[in-house]
Amino acid sequence: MVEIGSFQTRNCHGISRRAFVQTAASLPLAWGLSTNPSIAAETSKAKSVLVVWLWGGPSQLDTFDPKPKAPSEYRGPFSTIATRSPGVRFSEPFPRLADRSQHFSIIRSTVLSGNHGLGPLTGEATATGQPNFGSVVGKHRGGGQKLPPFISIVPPKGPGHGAFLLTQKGRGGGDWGSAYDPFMASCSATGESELRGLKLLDGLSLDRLDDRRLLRKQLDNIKRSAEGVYDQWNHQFESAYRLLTTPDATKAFDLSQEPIKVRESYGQTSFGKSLLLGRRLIEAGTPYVQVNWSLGVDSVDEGTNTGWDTHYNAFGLMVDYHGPVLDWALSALLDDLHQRRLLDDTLVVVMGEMGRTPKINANGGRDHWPNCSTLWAGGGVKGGRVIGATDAIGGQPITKPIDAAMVGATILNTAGIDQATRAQMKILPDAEVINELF
Amino acid sequence: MSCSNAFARRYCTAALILLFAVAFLPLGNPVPTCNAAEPVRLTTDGRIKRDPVVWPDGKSISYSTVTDAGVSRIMRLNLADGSTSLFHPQETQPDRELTVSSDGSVYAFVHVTPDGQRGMIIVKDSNRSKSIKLEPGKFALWPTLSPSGKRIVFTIDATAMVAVDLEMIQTSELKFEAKTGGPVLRLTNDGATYGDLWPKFSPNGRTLVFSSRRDDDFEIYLTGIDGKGQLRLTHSPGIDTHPSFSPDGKRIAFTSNRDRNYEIYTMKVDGSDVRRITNNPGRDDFAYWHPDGDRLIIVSQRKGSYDLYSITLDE
Repeated sequence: MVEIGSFQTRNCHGISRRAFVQTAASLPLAWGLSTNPSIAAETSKAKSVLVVWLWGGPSQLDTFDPKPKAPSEYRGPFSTIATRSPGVRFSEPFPRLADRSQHFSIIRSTVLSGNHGLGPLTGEATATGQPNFGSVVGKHRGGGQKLPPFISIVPPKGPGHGAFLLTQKGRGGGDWGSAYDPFMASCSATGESELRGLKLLDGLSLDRLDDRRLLRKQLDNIKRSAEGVYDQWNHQFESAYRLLTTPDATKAFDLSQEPIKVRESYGQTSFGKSLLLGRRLIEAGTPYVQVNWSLGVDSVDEGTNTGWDTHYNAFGLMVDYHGPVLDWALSALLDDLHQRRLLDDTLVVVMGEMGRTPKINANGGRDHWPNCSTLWAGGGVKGGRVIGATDAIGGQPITKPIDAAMVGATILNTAGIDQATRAQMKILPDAEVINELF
Repeated sequence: MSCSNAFARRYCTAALILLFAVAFLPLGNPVPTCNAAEPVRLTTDGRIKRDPVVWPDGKSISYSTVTDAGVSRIMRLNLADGSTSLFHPQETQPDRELTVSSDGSVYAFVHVTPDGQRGMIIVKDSNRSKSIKLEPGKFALWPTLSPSGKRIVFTIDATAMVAVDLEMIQTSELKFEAKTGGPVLRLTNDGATYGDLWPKFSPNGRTLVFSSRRDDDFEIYLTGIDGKGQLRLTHSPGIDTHPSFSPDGKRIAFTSNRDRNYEIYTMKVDGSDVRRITNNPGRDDFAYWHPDGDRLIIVSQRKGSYDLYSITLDE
């Protein structure tokens, strides 16, 4: 079911100016503003990119770079398990991914940020205003599609803490402006999609949007209460209207169209269903999708606000929540993409902003640490391999470090934005592509 | 293989017998699988669940879940009609991990603070019409009440277990840091290499079973309620977690991924006679013994959904 939500910040004259501006900022202006409208996906190795953002920073030791011979205060409680790739072992909370290791490669020498933030999604350790890779792809690919070029899927917002994904630098267009921000959608554990960017007016529904007379009346009301930004907003609204009134486009957001077995395979979690929505959007032609594990980084409670920032209780959470949910849902995504032959031209990158300290702290957790493991699949990436290596405790790379700029250059290059184009766009012009992946 | 003469035929026959024998040797998990009946599904919403507890009257089950709003909450399942409801309907902050005394008059749970940074224990005692808030500085997890409801054990900072004598607390709130004394007794050691999690009282209240990573792997341990006489019960290469006593105190149910998937096992209290109870491609976890002793209530992931199931044990 696709829901058009209501906006809560109305005043007695209709929608408030603040709400109006927020709404305007959340709509996909970049849709139709390509710098290279003639560029088609066939010039790219990957037609689409799906970034899975594990905010908070998963531990490299407890996922894909275990160190069973390290002293116990480093290695943690998990055993290692064999994978489909000879000689490659993962931490034991990930048996399903281990069984599918032929589909992806792990980079163990990634060095991203030492703290929270979305910088690594822009090619920086700390976000300064550079656009998200999705915004770059969106600008490059631009219009012509039925769907916005950059869609970010977030969990439904719970009360309390940790929803700052929606406001942080690096989430969207940055210095390019909100026109290049992602189109925001959310997905519940039961698979109900909500188009956050289209929370326009109380009571607005797809049926009512089709009523142009009503729509025009609403627009006139809005115009009166928000002089000055109407023209800009009107452009965005037309884009949004185009999305909502294009049956194929709205279908992509409707998970009930999927066979029950496929829906079941992703698991009944917000993350699992978000990955399924991501696959549908990719299949429908969206060039860039970012699926966000959580809205924040905290990890005290279990739920959709629970990130990977496991300063406390890292191992209990890994056993009870992080491990099973990620292992199940990500494995389902890889199976699904593979079976639909989408993996060949879809680049999947699974990453957080950092890793965790090799040494376990006094609270049964691990703290912030730049070195981390990242998972790469599809889009020409050869599977079954490990790239790079770390020292005996998983602390420092002993091979050439792969930084955020290289991650970005590789994603963009695979999406068809080569070095010359990046230089023209002033995006990571000097960064190396990780050629070992291909 | 070509068998062209008598010797070769005898060789071939022996080789085939050997091959046949090897092919059918039980090379896999040597743990016997118990012939439990097909699990009965108790909930149908499919949301993530954990920590089921059967109330002593056997009429309802409480458990923790993650709601549509994305927060953990304690629910109550009415077994008579299958309806579910929030255990604390007026509460908006996350709560989870309910524990109940043997007569149901005392219960406790984890309450997460509004800033989402700390977990505290709330004890509700209907005998004394009293509510006690236990704040151990950072956060507390996995409370277990003694059968009498007079004592509670939980893990602080995901490392060490502490016991609190509830009868010694005259106020409605007890804050304590790492220090012990008074009503607080530290049962196990602290530090990075420890991590004693998921404790559960025995039915007679004299021992606790828990999972620990002290030997570099989550294993099941037993301890006296004063922290003395700690004994390791499992020695498997996988993760052994979430132990729970049978009502007669003779067996312990627990979760293990020793076959690369989370399944439910039981064993005697000395760690012997390990039996696998479930064999499901999804995850089976959080076993809690029904008060009748004949059934386990578990969280089972089937067809992508996480629901409560009841498994009747054959013996």
